[in-house]
Amino acid sequence: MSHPHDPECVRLLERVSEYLDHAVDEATCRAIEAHVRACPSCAAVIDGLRRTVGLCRETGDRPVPAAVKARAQASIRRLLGTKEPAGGRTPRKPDRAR
Amino acid sequence: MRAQEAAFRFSLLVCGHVEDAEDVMQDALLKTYRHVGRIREPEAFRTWLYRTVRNACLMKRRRRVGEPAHFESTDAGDEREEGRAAAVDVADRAPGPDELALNSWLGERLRTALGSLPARYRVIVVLREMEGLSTREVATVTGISEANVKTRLHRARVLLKERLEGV
Repeated sequence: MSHPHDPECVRLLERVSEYLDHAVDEATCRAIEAHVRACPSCAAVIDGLRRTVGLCRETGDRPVPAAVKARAQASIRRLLGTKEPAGGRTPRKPDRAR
Repeated sequence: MRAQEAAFRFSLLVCGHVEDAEDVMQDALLKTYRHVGRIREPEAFRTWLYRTVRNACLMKRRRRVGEPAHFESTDAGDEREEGRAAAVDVADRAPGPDELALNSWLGERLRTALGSLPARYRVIVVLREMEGLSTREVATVTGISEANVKTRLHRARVLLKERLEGV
C-alpha cells in the first residue's frame, strides 16, 4: 500500500475492511472516522477500498452473458447425454437438493 | 438463483476463461451427481458445490500454467505471488467472442485486475463480494478459519484496489 508508515495510520488500515463491513464496535468506528477527517491519505485509501468493494458487488449482481451461459448449458447437456427439452431447461438439475 | 448457475458464474470468475469454466463445471457436476444424495441440508449443498468448483478451478489453473497436475492447496502461503501479477493469461491472448463477452460482463479493467490476483485471494474476493457468501461460508468453502478469511479478504481488497488503480 502506498501509504505513509505512520503507526496510527497502519493501525487504522489494518481494521479498515472490518470498518467497511460495519464489523467494528462503536468506539473503533468513531476513532477511525476522527482519524480519517484529519488524514487525507487514509481517507483516500478508504475511499478507494470502498469503491473497489462496490464495483465487485455491483458486478456480482450482473447475470452471466446469455451466449456464454447457453454454450455452457449445451456443453453440460452433452455431458449428461440429454437433449434440450422444450423451454430450454435441463430435466435433471444438480440443485435439486435445494 | 439456481446453484448450477451460481457455480458456473463462480468458475468463470475464478478461472477467467469460458473454456476452463466449462471444463470445471463438467468436473464439478460429475462429482455432484455422485455425492449429492448424501447432502441433506441446502446450505451444506451450496458450500459443498462451491468447494468442489473451487478445487476444480485450482486444478485447472495449475495445469494451464504448466504446474504439477496434482492438487496443491493454495492455503499454503506463497508470498511470491503477491509481488507480481499472477500468471493468469487474460491479457496474453487475442480476445475472441468469449473474451469480449467476459470483458463486457465484468469490465475489462476489473477482469484484468481480478485475474492478476493470486488465486487464494481471488477465490476469497469472488466468494465474499460477488457471490455474497458469509465469512463462515467462505471459511467452509476454502477450509481456512474465519479469522484467516477476514485477513485474506482485507489483503485481497487492498491488492485489487492497487491493481485497479494500475490498470
